[in-house]
Amino acid sequence: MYSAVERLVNLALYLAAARVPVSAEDIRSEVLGYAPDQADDAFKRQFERDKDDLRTAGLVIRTDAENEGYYRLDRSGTFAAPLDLNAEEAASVRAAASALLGDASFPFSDDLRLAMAKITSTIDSGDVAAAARLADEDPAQQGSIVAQLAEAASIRKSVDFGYTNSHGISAPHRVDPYGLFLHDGRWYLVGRDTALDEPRTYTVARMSDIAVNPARPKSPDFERPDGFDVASFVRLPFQYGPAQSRFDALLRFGASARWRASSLTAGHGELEADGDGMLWHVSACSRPRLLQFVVDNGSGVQLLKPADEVEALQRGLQEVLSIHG
Amino acid sequence: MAKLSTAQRTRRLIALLGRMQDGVVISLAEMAAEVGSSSAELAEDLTTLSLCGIAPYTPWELVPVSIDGDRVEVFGSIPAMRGPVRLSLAEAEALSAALSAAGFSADDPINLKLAAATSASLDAEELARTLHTETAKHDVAIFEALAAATRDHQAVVLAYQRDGDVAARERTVEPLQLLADRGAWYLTAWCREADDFRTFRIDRIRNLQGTGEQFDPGAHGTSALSAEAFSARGLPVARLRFTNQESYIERDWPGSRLIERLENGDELAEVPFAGTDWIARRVVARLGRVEVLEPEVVREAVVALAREESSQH
Repeated sequence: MYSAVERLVNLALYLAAARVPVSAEDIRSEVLGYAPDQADDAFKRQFERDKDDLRTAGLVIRTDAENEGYYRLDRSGTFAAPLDLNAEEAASVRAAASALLGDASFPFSDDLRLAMAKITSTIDSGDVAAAARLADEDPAQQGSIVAQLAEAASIRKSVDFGYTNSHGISAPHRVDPYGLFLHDGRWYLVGRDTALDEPRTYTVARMSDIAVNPARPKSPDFERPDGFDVASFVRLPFQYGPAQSRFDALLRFGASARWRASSLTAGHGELEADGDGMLWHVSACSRPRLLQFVVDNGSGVQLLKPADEVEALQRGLQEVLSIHG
Repeated sequence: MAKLSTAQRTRRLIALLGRMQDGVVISLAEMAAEVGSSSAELAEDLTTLSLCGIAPYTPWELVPVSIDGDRVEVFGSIPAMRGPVRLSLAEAEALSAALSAAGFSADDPINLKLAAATSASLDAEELARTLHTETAKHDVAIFEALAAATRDHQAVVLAYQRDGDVAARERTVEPLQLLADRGAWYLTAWCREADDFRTFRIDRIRNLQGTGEQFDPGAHGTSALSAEAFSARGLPVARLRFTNQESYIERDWPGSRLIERLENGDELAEVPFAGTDWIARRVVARLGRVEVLEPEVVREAVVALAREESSQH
């Protein structure tokens, strides 16, 4: 009695060895693992599933164009040429993989492990000591939910989940998942809330009871909007808040902080050269968080506008001196 | 570990087939580490593979692998297999996502090479539009050089600029571990200037030069290696008062703990700190909503920083 796994490996080896296209009947008689007394319909269903499984493993199985019902392995599409990575690139791949394989909040560790198993022998690099903690709150749960949501986003199926907002109010939601982003130790889902008919951002750690729409699993429920880019939903800490509270701010990176401008602004707002420094025009929603950002990011970051917030910053600093003086 | 489905286990075996090159002799533990399995899982997989083959299924047509104790030997070739199977789309996307988390953009040459090794069409840019890891922007060339130096145990000279430093300072370090923590990458290294372990944020490394000098990674012990950038172990602790205008949030103060909630809504917490600069800046940034109760050295650092910031603004 052969196991299903053995049958699949035998099938892979048989297809790889075949020099000419082979029929399903050839496979049935030559590959150990297919029961000889199996009904035709059952065999066909099993063979279809087996082809799907091998395709998922990376094998490119084609139907012969000239002979319907015959199959062949696309050898050049199936077997990899050695990955042409230089020594530093190989070390970087090793470091990133090594770090994230040990991080429960990374949602694709099973696929990453298989990828590394395939390429390890083709890249010339020893292991690199590395660790990661992408998400710090219940990483295993976040990783598991994100894996489900990423799969749903990929096949475009709606998801239902319970959600507890920042005010502690829980409610069910149905969302068309467009994409996911990780920011400051938390995963977020961006998708169209079907009840509100508009895009919303959800903190994954606040979700529960995730269920992907099981109806018509091979038919997408929605299309992602053209030009969708999940990165555009990532905000700086002071940019979260009601739209009506939005205001324009002007900051300056002095000479000592100019080199960090690109990193700190993270693509938000507009940077403009200003002598030995840089001016940064950026929109904000939260005044306290803007002031916190300015001080948190060290000397050389200066708030220029709005004037009332510059005054608020001064008052706050005097308050610090007052209570610690 | 959860039981794998037939499809998942098949994928693992197909991945292993690529390692079945005639003449390979390797320890089970080493191979298990390379492919990310436990030794027991790998032994089971290799045993299964050794039973697979093609008709007529005589020993000459089976996968030529044997396990003897901790020794794995491939004693022949599988004519049908021309080396490793290409990455499936899901595997390539997982690798691309891992690289993205390490700061590599979708159009980085590594992703292009990865696409060439994939059986389906990998569109790293499309993937990046639906899956994004916000990472403090570091120079990927520095990341690559650090990864290679960590692997090769080569000492390097860093030009490192902390927040508030006017210029970068050079330090010769022995790189031990790369670490991603909440959106930033760090290097744990033995710093020869400090004569101690230090953690460096990679986005603050302005420049890096190899020395060509090898070091012994175990020379100073491995106590500094961790899965977290910040360990509170052995650090001094400050007592902070959070006024009722500033909620105490544990994750904002790594290693901290709430010790008391007062009747007026204020909260008292203990916060470990490695250096007064870090804790002083975080307290000052709360603009009076957080007070340092003790120790005095942190209160003094807060006053000094608040004066400096006040003069700047």
